[in-house]
Amino acid sequence: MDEIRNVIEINNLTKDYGDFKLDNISFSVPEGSVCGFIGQNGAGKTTTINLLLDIIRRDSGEIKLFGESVDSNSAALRENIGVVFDEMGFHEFMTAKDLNIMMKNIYRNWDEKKFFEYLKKFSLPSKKKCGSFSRGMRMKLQIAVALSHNAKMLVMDEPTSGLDPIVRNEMINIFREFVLEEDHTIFLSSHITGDLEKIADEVVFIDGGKIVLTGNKDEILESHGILKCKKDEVEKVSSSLVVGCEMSSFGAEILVNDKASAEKLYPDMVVEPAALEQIMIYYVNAGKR
Amino acid sequence: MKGLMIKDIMCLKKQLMVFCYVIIGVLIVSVMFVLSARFGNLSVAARQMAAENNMSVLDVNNLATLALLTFMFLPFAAVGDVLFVFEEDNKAGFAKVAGALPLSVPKRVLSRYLSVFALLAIGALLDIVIAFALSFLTDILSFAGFVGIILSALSMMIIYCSLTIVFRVAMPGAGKGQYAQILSLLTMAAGFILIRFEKIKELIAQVKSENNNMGPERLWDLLTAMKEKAWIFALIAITVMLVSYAVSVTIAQRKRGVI
Repeated sequence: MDEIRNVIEINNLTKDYGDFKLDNISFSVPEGSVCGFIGQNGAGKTTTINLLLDIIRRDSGEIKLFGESVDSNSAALRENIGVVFDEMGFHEFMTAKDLNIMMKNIYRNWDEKKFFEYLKKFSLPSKKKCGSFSRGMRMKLQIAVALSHNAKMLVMDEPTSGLDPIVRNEMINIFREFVLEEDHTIFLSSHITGDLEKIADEVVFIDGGKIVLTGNKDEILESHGILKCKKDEVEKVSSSLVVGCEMSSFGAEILVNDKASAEKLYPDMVVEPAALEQIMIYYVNAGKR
Repeated sequence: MKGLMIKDIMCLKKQLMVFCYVIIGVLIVSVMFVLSARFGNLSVAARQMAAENNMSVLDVNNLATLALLTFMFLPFAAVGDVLFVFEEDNKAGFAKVAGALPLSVPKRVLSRYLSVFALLAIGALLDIVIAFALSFLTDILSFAGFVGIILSALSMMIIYCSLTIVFRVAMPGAGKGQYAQILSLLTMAAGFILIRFEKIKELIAQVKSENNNMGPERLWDLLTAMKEKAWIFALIAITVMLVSYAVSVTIAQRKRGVI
């Protein structure tokens, strides 16, 4: 059986800004997967992506893309990466046609035909200045650029934030289409966990510059659960299982990290499946405490 | 890299319009100058001044050259606002996009230099065409003299742009452009004073002396130097440009995301 190749490998990565530190993080993303990079605003998602693309200089640690260190040849490695940022970054006076002229002189594998096909598919005008585009159109334009140079990996920083559900759904379908090719990978940061639940295979959860949780999304969802009990029963629950607890007037809700064990140990209590968003909230609150 | 140069030139689109107007203006003034120098008031005035011994023929000639140069430098000035590209990039947040492109930092920096110099080259080319016509139609200056002066002016613009780029890379962020421009001009002035320190001292002494009967000779000296020693200006420009590029790359690599 072929060994699964990691397209992203990050080991002990550190970046210290003084008031914020990305603290010794490590994770990997297998080829052909959709990896959701989740965390609240300011958790370190954008910093990690900027480090990954070698846009900012790291303090220490190692980053490998497609098995190669970014130190040796980051520019050439970026030829295979399509990037979508939370803000467009293209000049507002530029039209999609201008972007085509610029990009075809930058990317070796730029596919002009494909770019205009995407513009058509996304209903984007080619002669209109992109400064007049709505947020959804701007994101689509970035995606069209990212998909038009035969990239093997898409790295996206909050591509769906601030978009209405219809456009978000449209974009998720585009991402799904992209990963139909088995060597195509998506690394997608978002705090909208609902979107990631729909498409992600892997999840990396970052909080306060530290990796809190990483692994297969289904396994994470399967292993975690919300245990519902009375307030006076909270003490009975083994602390090794408890990630966080929230009290309400109706009782207590505890996020447990081993749903199967909790069900076995506390058959009288109800253990419900946890959503990615709940898992994120409980971990963040637990970290604050 | 070519793509980034295209983008830079697109950023300078607004400037290009000014450039076009300047070119048209320069062409019109050149034609008027030639006509006047051959058949009009300029030729009459020149003859009269020389006959009345108000000014020497050399003075008249040099004055005409200075007048010509003033508008011949305009195409350079029109494209010399390299800061415009930086400001446009800043406004769009393009540095992040550039960082994600398959281009190394040295290439990204080089593209900025090349796009500015490409526009300067267009200005120089236009001036050479005008100079050829003027040297052919008038006897103000030989073609070689014109080329010397154009080369000197081009060198100064290269020095100015190179310094502005390096200062702008060193001072990223919105609204820092003016500082880069002021620093460039101050550096150029300081450099000039340093090179011509003895001459300047001599000049100040002359001004202070009681029997100060200085003519326009000093100015003509500079004009002669620009005509005959353009290669010195060119050498200085190349050196400044190379040093500026090396420093810009070092800063851009260290800071990242500034270009």
